[in-house]
Amino acid sequence: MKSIAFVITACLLSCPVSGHSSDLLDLKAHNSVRGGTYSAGVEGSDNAANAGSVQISNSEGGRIVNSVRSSGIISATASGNNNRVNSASVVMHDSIADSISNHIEAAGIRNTVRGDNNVSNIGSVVLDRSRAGAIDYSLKAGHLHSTIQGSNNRLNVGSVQFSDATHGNVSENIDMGNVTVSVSGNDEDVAIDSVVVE
Amino acid sequence: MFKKAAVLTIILIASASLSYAKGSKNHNGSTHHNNTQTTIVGSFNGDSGSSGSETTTGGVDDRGSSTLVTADIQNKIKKAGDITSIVSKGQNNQANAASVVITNGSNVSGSLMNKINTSGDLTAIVEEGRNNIANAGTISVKGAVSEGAVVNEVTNTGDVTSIVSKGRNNQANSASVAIN
Repeated sequence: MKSIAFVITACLLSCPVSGHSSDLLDLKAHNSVRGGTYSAGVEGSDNAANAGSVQISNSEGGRIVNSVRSSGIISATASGNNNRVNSASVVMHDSIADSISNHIEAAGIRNTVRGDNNVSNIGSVVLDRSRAGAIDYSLKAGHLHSTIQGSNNRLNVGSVQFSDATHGNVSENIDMGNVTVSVSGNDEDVAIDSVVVE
Repeated sequence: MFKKAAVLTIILIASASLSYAKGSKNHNGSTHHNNTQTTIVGSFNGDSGSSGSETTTGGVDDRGSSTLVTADIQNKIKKAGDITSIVSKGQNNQANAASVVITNGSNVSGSLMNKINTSGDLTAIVEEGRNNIANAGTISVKGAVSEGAVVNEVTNTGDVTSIVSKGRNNQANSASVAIN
């Protein structure tokens, strides 16, 4: 009996330590960007690069707003494995939001990923194991260029993508110039100007 | 550009109001308003990255273990020159430029505001190492935010760049809001 009690006590004590998450209750997250060139880059493994983006994990929030107006290029690059690269995007994992607004204007957007198990989002809204109300989304950009080299990679350009997610109405307005996508490797998933539900 | 970076270390800790910055700082005729009205309840650990190093330029960096942060945190920068923050090698590194950063699972119940209006460049770089974060013109939170608003406004800037070169478990944010 003592050993059982000890095990139970040890489990209870360890629970608060094992979890690490964020919670946004009645919170408004607003990212407003106006100006020149924005870039984020990482090299190595298990990396995340965000440029002109809102990235939320394990949280519960109200209205999420991402507003970017750039006269230059927005770019995010990653080299290695298990990378997540977001440019001018709203990305939610295991989260809840009342509504999402993502409005992007840029002269150009450029993402480059080299490695395996990578995700590259450009001007996109991505909900992964998440729930959101209305999604209002617009993208106006000159040239979009993305390169992915590796395996098990996913690329979203000007898209709204749901994976194991629930959502309200989706309003999408896309005005893009030339779109160039270069992908090499295996098990690639590419979505351009699309709404994808998985 | 990086050669311009003068080295100035600022550590300011008070019980009722807190402003914490450490590392290199580059002022070129800038007007900085780092208004941090913070109440800390619980333990505060200003050296949590003991094996690494961090730089915060023109920004606010609150970190703690099981720390409750109430009231508002405002970081306002106007008419600054280039703002550059660099960390080279090591572990648990941070390079923050014109950013508000909350780390180590803090509980925030106030609003977080980062307003940057400058024609200069914002640059944050971490070179090599592990568990690195580079923030430029960003609000980054690792913890719980229970109410209020997170507002990040970056206007009229030059280039905004965040780079992590080599290493593992890295994150680079530029002109973004990242809540994990």
